[in-house]
Amino acid sequence: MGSMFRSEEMSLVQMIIPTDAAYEVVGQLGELGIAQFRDLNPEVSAFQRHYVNEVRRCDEMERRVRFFELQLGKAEIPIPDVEEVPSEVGRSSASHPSPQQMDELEYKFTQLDKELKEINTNEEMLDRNNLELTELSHILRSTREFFEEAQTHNFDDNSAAAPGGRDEHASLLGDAEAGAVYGAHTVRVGFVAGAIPRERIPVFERVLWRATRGNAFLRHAPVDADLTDPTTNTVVPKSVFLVFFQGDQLEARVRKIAEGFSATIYPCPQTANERYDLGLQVAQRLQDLESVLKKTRDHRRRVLATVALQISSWSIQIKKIKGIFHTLNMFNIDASSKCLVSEAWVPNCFLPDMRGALSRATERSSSTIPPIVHVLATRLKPPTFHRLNKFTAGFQNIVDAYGVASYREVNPAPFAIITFPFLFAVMFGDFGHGFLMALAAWALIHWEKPLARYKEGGEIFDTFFGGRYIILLMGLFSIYTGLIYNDIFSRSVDFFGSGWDVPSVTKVVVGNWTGYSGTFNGTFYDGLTHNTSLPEDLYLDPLWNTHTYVFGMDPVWAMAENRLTFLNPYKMKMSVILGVCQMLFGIVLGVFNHTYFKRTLNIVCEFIPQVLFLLCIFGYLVLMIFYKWANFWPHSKAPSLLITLINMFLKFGNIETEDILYGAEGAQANLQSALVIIALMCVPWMLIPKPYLLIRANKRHAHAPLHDHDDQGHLLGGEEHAAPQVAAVKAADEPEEESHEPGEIIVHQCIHTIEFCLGCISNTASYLRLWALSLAHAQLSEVLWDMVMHAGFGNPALLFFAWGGWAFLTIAVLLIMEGLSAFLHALRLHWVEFQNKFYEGTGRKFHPFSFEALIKGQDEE
Amino acid sequence: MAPPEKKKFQLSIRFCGPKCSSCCMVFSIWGILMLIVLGILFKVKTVSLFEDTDDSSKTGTNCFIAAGIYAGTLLLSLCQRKLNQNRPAAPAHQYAMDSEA
Repeated sequence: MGSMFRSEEMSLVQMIIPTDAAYEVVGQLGELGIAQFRDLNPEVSAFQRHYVNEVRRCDEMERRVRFFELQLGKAEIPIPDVEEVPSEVGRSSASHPSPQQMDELEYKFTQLDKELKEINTNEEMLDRNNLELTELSHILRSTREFFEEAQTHNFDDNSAAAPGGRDEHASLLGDAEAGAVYGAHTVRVGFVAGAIPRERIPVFERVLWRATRGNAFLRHAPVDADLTDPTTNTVVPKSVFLVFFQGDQLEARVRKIAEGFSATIYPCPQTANERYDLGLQVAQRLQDLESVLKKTRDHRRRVLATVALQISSWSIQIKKIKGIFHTLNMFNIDASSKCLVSEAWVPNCFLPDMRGALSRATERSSSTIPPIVHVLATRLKPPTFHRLNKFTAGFQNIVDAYGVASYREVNPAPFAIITFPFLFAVMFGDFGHGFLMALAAWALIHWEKPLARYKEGGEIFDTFFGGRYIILLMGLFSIYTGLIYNDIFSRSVDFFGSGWDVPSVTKVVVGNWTGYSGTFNGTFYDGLTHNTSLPEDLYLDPLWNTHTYVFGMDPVWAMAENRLTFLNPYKMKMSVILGVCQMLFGIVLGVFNHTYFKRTLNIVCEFIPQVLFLLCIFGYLVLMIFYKWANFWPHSKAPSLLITLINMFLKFGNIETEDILYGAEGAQANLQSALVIIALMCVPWMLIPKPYLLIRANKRHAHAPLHDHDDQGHLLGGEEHAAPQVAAVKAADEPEEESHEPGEIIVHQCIHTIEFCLGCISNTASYLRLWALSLAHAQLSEVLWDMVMHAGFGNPALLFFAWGGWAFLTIAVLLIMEGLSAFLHALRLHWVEFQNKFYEGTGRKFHPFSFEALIKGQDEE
Repeated sequence: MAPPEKKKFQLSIRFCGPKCSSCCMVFSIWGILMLIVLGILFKVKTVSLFEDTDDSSKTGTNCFIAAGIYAGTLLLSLCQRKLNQNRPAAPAHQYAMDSEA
């Protein structure tokens, strides 16, 4: 039965599995996700475990998949989701792969890895060739340009006076050319040509100058084409250079310097004709290279495209295999290494499923011996598991964020489904805001499936999306409380006709005229609309009330000057009533824990005095609140409840005349004295009997050594215990004694008692936040309307902007900011004020081995 | 030369992204509905709105005009949405198709 009230009953199951079927068994259980395996060899390090080689193989395959992903990213090929891949490719991801498939996968990966690496080296080599040829062609072109330029300058040399330095260079160049080409009788002038990263040119030039003592001359020109370095794949701006010099010694020196600057030097023919021929050759080779490169790239792209289709399902499969081997590493290996022994927590409701999975696994692995399964009796605390659906999961998360319920403890989550949105709505009461909130949540729910796959929203969006059902309920409850408060974007609506009949003596202002309005017979508003004016200083007097408004606040209060004097005490009292009810409910829930865990002592020594204490003080306050609401003090000041409550203690046995609420003077005083005596008696009742009885019981335990043996809380595993202990599971639920030292017991009880008594007072005061936040919300939305909307009513264009600003601020401030603040306060009221009355929250969550969780959790790791 | 010009023209018309235009659309719808309701309430001289105006009939008309302006922004945002939807989608499966060809 899927009840949320308590967590599911758990069994510790021992399985003895033949080694050849173990992989399949874990795989089947992983598909179902129903078993949490215990680590049976925690003292063994990760490297000494049995299946460490398999895990290492999986790591290697994961590395390969990452390499493929990197390649895909470089080639800018998108990786489709598993759902988008055609079924015949993605089908293998539906169930976990067998060990044979793992081998196949590994082989496939090795092949692919080799192929891709080969293609990559080829491509890099081709790219390098391409780069070199391109550089060479640039060098040839610039060399030609240099010499042509030099020649023209040479001719001009005598005729025109060109600017100094340049002219010198030109003539030198001319000489060089002459020397190189024709110079049989001059000293040989040689040159070295190459390419160098552009930013190194100035330094290169300076070093050359120094090293050759000015006897080398450098010409350089930037290469305008983008040259990509094949190893780093970045664009490096380069320049080509020509260095002219005389003699072989200098040549060697120049070459060395150029190498030192990581320049590439290309053999450049000396004569113009040879250079021209080489240019043609280079162009031809470049063309060939281009077509080869294109083919290589196409091939690579084809290979990667097939990889892209399968890569998601591959990585899922590897995750599954790795998960299975990790789990297998937790198992104990039998001495004969013929079978594995494992222990797992399984919810009782899933035990039949587990047996089904085991028999399926035996079938699939064609093992002859079925695994042996039995339930172990244990004193270990089982993990907590609640069966949830997408609606209840959000509320369980709220509770789990505070503390995971102890095993089989009363779970506050099912009650939070109603109380949480309700307390939120008390603070957030506005029909308009609630409606918008519910609408937004409805949109999240309506487009649930596409939004669940939307991953770019970030953490904030995920939080809102995860809490969509909570937000929906919060919105709906806010609509309800908004109707009670009669607030729609801070304005009131008159649905049923006001119950107030304001007499004619009210002062009204019409334009400059101040006077007294006519009678408002029955309907208050008609008179007002007729006069298009407002009664100033409209202080509503209870005597004018003719009947109660049908539902919620009477809309007339929206116009009354004494609105807040009425609303504040009303909401304050409401908060106290709600708070006392919720705290009382929390204490009562404790009884279910006490009876379930058979702690009769706690019922007598904790539950009864706690209830009496709360009811005698705050229960009485609630009764007084109702009494005061029901009665009417027309001519005298009504007694203040808070003062009355305080005086109940301070002026014990007496009563001030202004505190008298009901009955004769003596009656109220006597009743209050009796309540105070009962409440004060509850304190020692909570404090003394329980530690006394516990200590006495412990002393008796000490005389009975048999019990001590049981108290160790050790696992009663092993073969000799296994058979008779199925019936003993129930005994494992018995609580472990928290402490045995008498001092500890007494201190613990003292803290507990003081915490409860002070807590009752401070928690009741804490519930006043319901009133405070509700007031703040109502006032803020009224201020927003008055400051922003009000300003725009005179002019349509202004109204357009005023409404836009108002709508934006309503969303940003009133819905999101105020909503978050009210949410946090509601959370606090549940965690602190409600749950500390009964909830331990010291359990640990059930984490079954499940492929689904493995695949989903890939980002968390 | 004609196609690139046309493309540039289209780009300049689409000044809102898909999220922005959807957001504007929602706000416009809310604005129209709420301002029409407000206008009607002013016209029938609802008492709760008394503090907001001296001349409720004129204010009601103002509300209707502002609702009209929001109808304009609604049309605009709908156009933007349409343009966003017609925009060529990112070449998601192009490579896969190439490889099969």
